[in-house]
Amino acid sequence: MFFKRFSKPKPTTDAEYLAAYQATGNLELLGELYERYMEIVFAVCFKYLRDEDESKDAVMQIFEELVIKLRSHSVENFRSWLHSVARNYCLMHLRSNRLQTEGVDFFEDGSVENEPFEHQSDDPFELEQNLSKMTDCLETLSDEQKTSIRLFYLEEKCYKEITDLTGYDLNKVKSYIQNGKRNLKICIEKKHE
Amino acid sequence: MNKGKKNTKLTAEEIKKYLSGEASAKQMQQVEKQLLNDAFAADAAEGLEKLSAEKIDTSAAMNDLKKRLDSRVKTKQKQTNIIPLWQRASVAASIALVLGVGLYYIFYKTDNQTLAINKPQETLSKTTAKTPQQEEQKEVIAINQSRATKAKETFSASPENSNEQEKFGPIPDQESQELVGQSNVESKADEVLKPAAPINTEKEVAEPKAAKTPVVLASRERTSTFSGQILDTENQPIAGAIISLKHSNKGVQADINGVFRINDVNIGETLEINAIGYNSQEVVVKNQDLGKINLSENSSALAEVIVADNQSKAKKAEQKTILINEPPTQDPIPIGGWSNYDTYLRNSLKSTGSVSTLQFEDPIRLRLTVEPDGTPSNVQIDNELDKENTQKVVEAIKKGPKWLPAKRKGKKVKKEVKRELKLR
Repeated sequence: MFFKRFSKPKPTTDAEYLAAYQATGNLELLGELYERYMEIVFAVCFKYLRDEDESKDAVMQIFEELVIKLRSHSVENFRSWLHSVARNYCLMHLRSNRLQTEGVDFFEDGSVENEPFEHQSDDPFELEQNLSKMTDCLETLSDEQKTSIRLFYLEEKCYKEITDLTGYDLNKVKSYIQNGKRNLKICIEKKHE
Repeated sequence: MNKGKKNTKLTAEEIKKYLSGEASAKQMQQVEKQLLNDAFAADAAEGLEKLSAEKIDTSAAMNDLKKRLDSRVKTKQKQTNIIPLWQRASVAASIALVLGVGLYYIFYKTDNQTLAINKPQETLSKTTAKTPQQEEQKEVIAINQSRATKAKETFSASPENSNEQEKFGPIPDQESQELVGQSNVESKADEVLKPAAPINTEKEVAEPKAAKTPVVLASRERTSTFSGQILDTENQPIAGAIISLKHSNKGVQADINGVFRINDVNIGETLEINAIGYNSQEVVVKNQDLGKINLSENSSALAEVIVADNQSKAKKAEQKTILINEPPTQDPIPIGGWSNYDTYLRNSLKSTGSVSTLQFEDPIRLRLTVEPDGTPSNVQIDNELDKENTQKVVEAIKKGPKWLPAKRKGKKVKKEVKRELKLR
C-alpha cells in the first residue's frame, strides 16, 4: 500500500481528488477533499438542523454517504453535488425527526431536489446573446426590482449601499434582487425558445 | 447570465468575513453576487449567520470535526491495509501457525501429565511412565523393557508386563510384579532411563485403588472433560440436576441417568450441584472422574416449589385441603421439576402432530397416579378429547420423566396428581 500511496502525484482539484479516490478507494484522499468543504457543509447543516452537535454528526454522516456514493458515481460538479447531498441529508433527517423547523420553507424554495445541479453557463457567447435580451427583459420588471438590479449588477453596489441609496429595507433589497433575477432568467429563457 | 468575473467559489472564510461586516462595500457586493448564484454558499451563509447569532464558535467545531474525520479516515485505512498485508505475510502466518500448534501440543501434553499425576509421585521417571498413551514414550518403555528382558532370565514376566501396560488393565498379578521388580533392581545400572520406571509406576497406579485407573484413562482424552453422576441418597439418578461452576454462569444439566459432562473446568475449582427437591451440594474438582455425587433430599424446598407452581386458584385450594387433611404428605413431583415437565409434555405433544396446539384454548387437565417406584399410571385427561389424542397424551406421560413419589411420614406412597398444562 505504500507504493500505491506514492505512485501518483497528489491531486489538487476536486475532479482529480475524485478520480484518485475512485481509483484507489483511499479514504485519506476523500477526507482531504471533504475537509475543504467541511465548514460550508457544517454551516448548511446548522441552517437546517439548528443544533451544533446534530450538525456535527450530520457532517460525519454525509461523509459516510460520500464514501459509498463516490465509489460508484462519477460526479462532474462536486461542489454542487455535495450541496445537494448535504441538503437532502438534512431534510431527510428533519423529516425523520418530524421536526417542524421552517419545514415548509425548505420545500417551497423550490431548489430541493428539483435543481440540485445549478449550472451556470460559462460560455461568453451565450452571455452576449443574453445581454441584448436582458435590456428588454429588464423593462418588464417592477420598478423596485429594476432599480435594485441595476444598482446591484451594473453599478456594483452592495445591499447596504442600495439600502442607503433607495431607502428600501435591507431584506426587501435582497428579495427584489433575488426575485428580479429570477424573473429576468425566466424572461430570457422564454425569448430563447 | 449575471456572473461574477471571479470564477472561484466562495469559501467559508469569505462568507464569514462578509458577515462580520469587515469587508469593503465592493467586496460585499462581490460576495452578494456570488451568493445569488451559488446556492451552496447561500445556504452556508444562512447557517453561518445563525451560528454567529447563537455565538457558536465554528473554529472549535471544525477542530473537533477534523479530528473525527481524521480518525474515521485512518481507521478505515488500517482495515483496508489488512488484506494485502495478510497476503504478503501469509508465509509468516503459516509459520506462526505451525509454531503455535507445536507449542500448544507441547504445553497440552505437560498439562495432561500433571492432570494424570495428581497422585503420589516420587521420581521423574515415573512421570514419563504415567502417560503411556504417548507413543514415543511407549516405545522407550518397550525398548527399555526388551533390554531388561534380554539381560535377565526373568523372561516370562516381561511380555506379560508389557501386555498389561498396553491394556492398562487392572492390577497386575503379584507374582509377575515381584519378578519384574527384581529384574529392575539388577538392571538399574543400565541406562539413564531406567527400565524400572514403567514397572514401578504400574505398581503405583494399580496399588492405591482400583478406582484410580479410570482417572488415568480419562486423562488420555485430549479434552479436559469432567464427568460424574448425580444420584439421590438411594442411588437413583437425578435427571435434570444443574451442575454449575461456582461464581460463574457456566453450567450443564444432568441427563436422564444423572450423568453429566462439563468442559473447561480446572482442577481445584468448585462445582455447585442443584436439583429441585434436593439440598445443593458443592464438589471440589479433583480429577476428571467426579464419580457419584449423592444429594440429600430436601422436603421443605419441595413444598415451596409445589405452592409456587400451582397457578389456578382451584388447584391451590385443593392443595391446601390435602395439606390440611394429610399434613405430613408430600406430593409427587416430576423429576427435574414442574416447569421442565411442562416443557417436555408440550414439546412431545407438539411433535406428535395430531394434537394441534391451536385446538386448545383451555389447558389440558391431567390426572395421574404416581406409584411408589416413581412410574406414572392411571393417566386420565379430563378434557374432551378423542381416543387417539388421549392415547397420545397418555403415552407421552408414560414415556416421559419419572416422578419423585409422594411421601408420607418419610415413606414413599402412591398418590394421585392433578395438573393443568397450558399448551400456549
